Amino acid sequence: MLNGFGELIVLTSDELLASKSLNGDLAAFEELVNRFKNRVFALVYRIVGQHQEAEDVTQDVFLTVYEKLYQYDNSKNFAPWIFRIATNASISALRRKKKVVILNFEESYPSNYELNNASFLTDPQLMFERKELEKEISAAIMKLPENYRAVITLRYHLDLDNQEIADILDISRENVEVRIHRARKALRKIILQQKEERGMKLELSANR
Amino acid sequence: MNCQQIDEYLFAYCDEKLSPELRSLIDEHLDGCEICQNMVRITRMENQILTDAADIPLLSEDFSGQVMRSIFDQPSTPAGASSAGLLARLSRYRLYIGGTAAAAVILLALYLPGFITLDMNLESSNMADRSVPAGESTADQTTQIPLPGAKALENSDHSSASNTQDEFSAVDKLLTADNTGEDRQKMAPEIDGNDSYTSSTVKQNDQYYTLTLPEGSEIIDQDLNESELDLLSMHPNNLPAEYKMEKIINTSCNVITYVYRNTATDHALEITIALQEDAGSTQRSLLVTGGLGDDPDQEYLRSDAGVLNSTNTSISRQGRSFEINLKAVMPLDKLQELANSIDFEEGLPYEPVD
Repeated sequence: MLNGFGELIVLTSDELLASKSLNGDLAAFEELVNRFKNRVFALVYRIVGQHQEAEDVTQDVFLTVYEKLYQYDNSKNFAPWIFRIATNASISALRRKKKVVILNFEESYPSNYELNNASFLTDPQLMFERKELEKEISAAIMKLPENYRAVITLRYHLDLDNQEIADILDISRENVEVRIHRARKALRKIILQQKEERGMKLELSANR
Repeated sequence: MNCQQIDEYLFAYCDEKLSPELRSLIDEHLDGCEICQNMVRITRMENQILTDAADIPLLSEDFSGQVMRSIFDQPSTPAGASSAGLLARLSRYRLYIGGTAAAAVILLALYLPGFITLDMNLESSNMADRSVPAGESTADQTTQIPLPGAKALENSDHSSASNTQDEFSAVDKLLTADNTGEDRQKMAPEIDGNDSYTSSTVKQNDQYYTLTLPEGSEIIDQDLNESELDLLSMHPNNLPAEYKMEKIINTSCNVITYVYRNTATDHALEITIALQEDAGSTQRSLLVTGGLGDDPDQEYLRSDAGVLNSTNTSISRQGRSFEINLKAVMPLDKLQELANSIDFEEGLPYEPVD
C-alpha cells in the first residue's frame, strides 16, 4: 500500500509508527492518521453528536496526538492512548458548548449504513426488524449521558477490552462492566419510551 | 432461575462475560422459555447494531490531507513541541489584525514562518514602508510584511485576506489560545499506573480500586461526580500479600465477586460483596450462600482439594447493608481470621440501578 508520499508502507505496528512519527517521519504519522481516523471520529461523533463539530474535534485530536507524541509511552498500546485523548477532547468540547447537543436528524451525510447494510440478513422480516431497531438505537443513543455513550462505543464499536476501557475512562476495571450494564439498561429504557411515545407495541417489555 | 434474574444477566450473557457455569444455568432456563429467548435475540441484535454503528456518518474524504497540511504548517517536530506548541498552534490560524492592534502583534509575528497580513491604516503604514517598496502597497490597504528571516512560503493560510467572520474567529482564537494550550495539556495525560494489563497483584489491586486519579485527569474527575457514581462502594483491602488478584466477576450492578489466588498454596479465595437488597433473591444464593458442594459456579474453588468453607458477615456503609461472603478451601477458623483481617475500603457513594 502506498501512502501520500509515494512510499510503501509495510504492515507495521501502531507503536512502531508512533516512534517513527516522533522521529519526524511524517509518512508514518500519516499512516497512523489513516488507521485511526474512522475509529477516532466514531468515538468523537458519539460523544459530541454533531457531524461538523465532531470532524473539527477529530482533527484537533490528531494535532494534539502529534504534539504530545513525546509523552506517549511506547511500551503500552497506542490505541488506548489515542482514544483517551479523543474521549477527553470530546467531553471538553461538549462542556465548552455548555448545552445539550441535539442531534439534527435532518442532517443527511453519507454514512456507513449503506456500506454495512448488504449484510447477512436475507429474511425480510428480520431485516425490517433490524432496521427499525437501528433507527430506535440511533435516536436513543444521543439521549444517554455522554459517559454512557462513550463506554458503549468503546466496548461495541471499537471492541476494546475492559482494562483498556478502564484506562481510557479513568475508572476501575470492574466498574467498566457496571457502567456498561447501566448504559445498556438506560438505552433500552429510552428505546421503550420512544416506542411508548409512538404507541407502538412494547415487545421489549413483554416479560416485565 | 426465573425470568427476572435472566434479565439481570442478559447483557453480560450476550457479551459472553459470564462464567461457563452461570452461562449453562441460563442456557437451561432459555431452553424452556420463549420470552427470554426472544430477549436474547433482541439483545444480540442490539449488540450487532452497536458494533456496526452504521448510523455514524463518514469522515470527509480529504480528512487525512487536512491533518497533514496542518502538521506541515507546524515549525516544530513533536519532540520540541512542549515549548513551541502554542506558537505552532497559533501559526495554523490565519492572522488578520485590524488597525491599531497591529503593533501589538509584531512580537508574535517574529515567530511566524510566513507572512502576516496586516490591514493598516495609511498613517500607521510607514513602519511597513521600511521593509516593503512603497509601490507594493495594495489598493485595499493590505500590506504584506516579510518577516526577518522568513522565506516567501506559498502558505495561503497565513497570507490570505479574510472576511469579517474569520477576522473575529481569528482574534477569538488568539485570545483563547492560551487556554487552548492548557486544555491540550489536560487532554493528553499519560496512561500510567498498571504496567501490564494481564498480571494482577495485590499492589496493582490498590491501583484498581482506590480512587487515585492520575495527573491531568480533572476532566474525567468531574465526570465521575456528575454521573451518578459508578463505584461499588466497597472493595477488599489489606489482604495478606500472598493473595494475588485473579479475576473479578461482576455479575450484576449490585453484586461483585473478587477471586484471589494464594501464590504459596495455589488455593483460590473468593470474596463476594452483595448489596443487601439483593440478598433475598436466588441470585444471592447462587453467588453468596449457594450450596457449597453442588454450586457449579466456582470451578476455581472446586479444583482445590479439601473442604470448601464459607463465612458470611454483614457490614453497613453509607446507610446501606452489604453482605460479605468469603469462600476458600481452608479451615473455617483460618477463613474467619482472614475475613477479620480484611478492610473494606469505600469508594464513592453507591446507588443501585432503579
